[in-house]
Amino acid sequence: MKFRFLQTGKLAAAENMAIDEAVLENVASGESAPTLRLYGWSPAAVSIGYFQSLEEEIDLMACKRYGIDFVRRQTGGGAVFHDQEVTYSIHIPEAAALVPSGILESYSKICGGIIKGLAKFGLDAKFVPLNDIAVKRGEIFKKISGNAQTRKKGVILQHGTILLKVDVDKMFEILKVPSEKLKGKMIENVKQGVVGLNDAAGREISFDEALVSLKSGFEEEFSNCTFEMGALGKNEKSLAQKLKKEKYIADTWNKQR
Amino acid sequence: MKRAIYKVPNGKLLKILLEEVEGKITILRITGDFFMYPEENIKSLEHFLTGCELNKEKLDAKIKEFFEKNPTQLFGVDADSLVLTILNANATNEI
Repeated sequence: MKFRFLQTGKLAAAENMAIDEAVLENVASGESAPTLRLYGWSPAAVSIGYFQSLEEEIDLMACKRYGIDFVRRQTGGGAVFHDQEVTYSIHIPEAAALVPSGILESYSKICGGIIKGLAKFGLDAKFVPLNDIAVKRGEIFKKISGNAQTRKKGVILQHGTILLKVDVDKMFEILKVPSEKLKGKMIENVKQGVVGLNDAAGREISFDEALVSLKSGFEEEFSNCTFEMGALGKNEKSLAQKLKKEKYIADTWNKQR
Repeated sequence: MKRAIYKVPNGKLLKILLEEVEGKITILRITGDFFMYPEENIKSLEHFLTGCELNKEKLDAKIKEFFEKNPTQLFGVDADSLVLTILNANATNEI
């Protein structure tokens, strides 16, 4: 089985989510091969899960102040501050039987690619159900990656993030917390429980270096497949533009809940 | 609007926004960082529960009926935590 490998660089939030959906549509119609895409976010952005309310999760004034973008995902899960990180999305037809049909099992399989990628930096990482990956730091494991999956039109779309560096204080200026009283404790918990790849590996790792290792990790996990560098097709590009304009920048989508 | 937030044990954060008239749901919004497949079922579920009496027995039955009619997979949230949090919201004062 052949995967198409896409590197789309760092893009705005609405464009990133529009591309993920456009690729899903084209993989579903059979026009595009199963696809692994690695990307980043510029400007930095917050994405919220499908079931979340934008206004409850994000301080929109703070976003404006920092020039931070926002978007609602088509996948569930929580709000994510996308700043210094590598993001992946993988699109696999269910019929290809490359991952188990069970949702939890398929998360684990796909996260295996990231775990193998992290191993390139000498890190011991494990899948933490339902949707996290944690890396061993001394005696404890700290979260380094969050993931979210949807299944539509016979295609599994999973996307997720691998943190390079974490700015927890800025993250909590952008994200709202359910209780101001507990905010200090929550910030402390995240500082203790979350780590970026740079800190975990103990050296500076660039976006490009992380990207190369993650690609190799997926190649190892899906060792019966080849990954060939490709580009977005014409239909994907035009659909992504349409989805960006009509859906992912629109309040009707982002503020729907 | 009445609100409640519940951290599902070993699960995700569930938020309920509720409006009721004479003990029946008139507006219900279920949000949070959980997962539901297919995702679109959330709207149908909110719609299906509108009009339901706000007591445990009726809510249990109605949610069970919905999931029987609409096969749905839930992760990080379950039917019991939905009922509990809707009732918790109803027990609060309006905000």
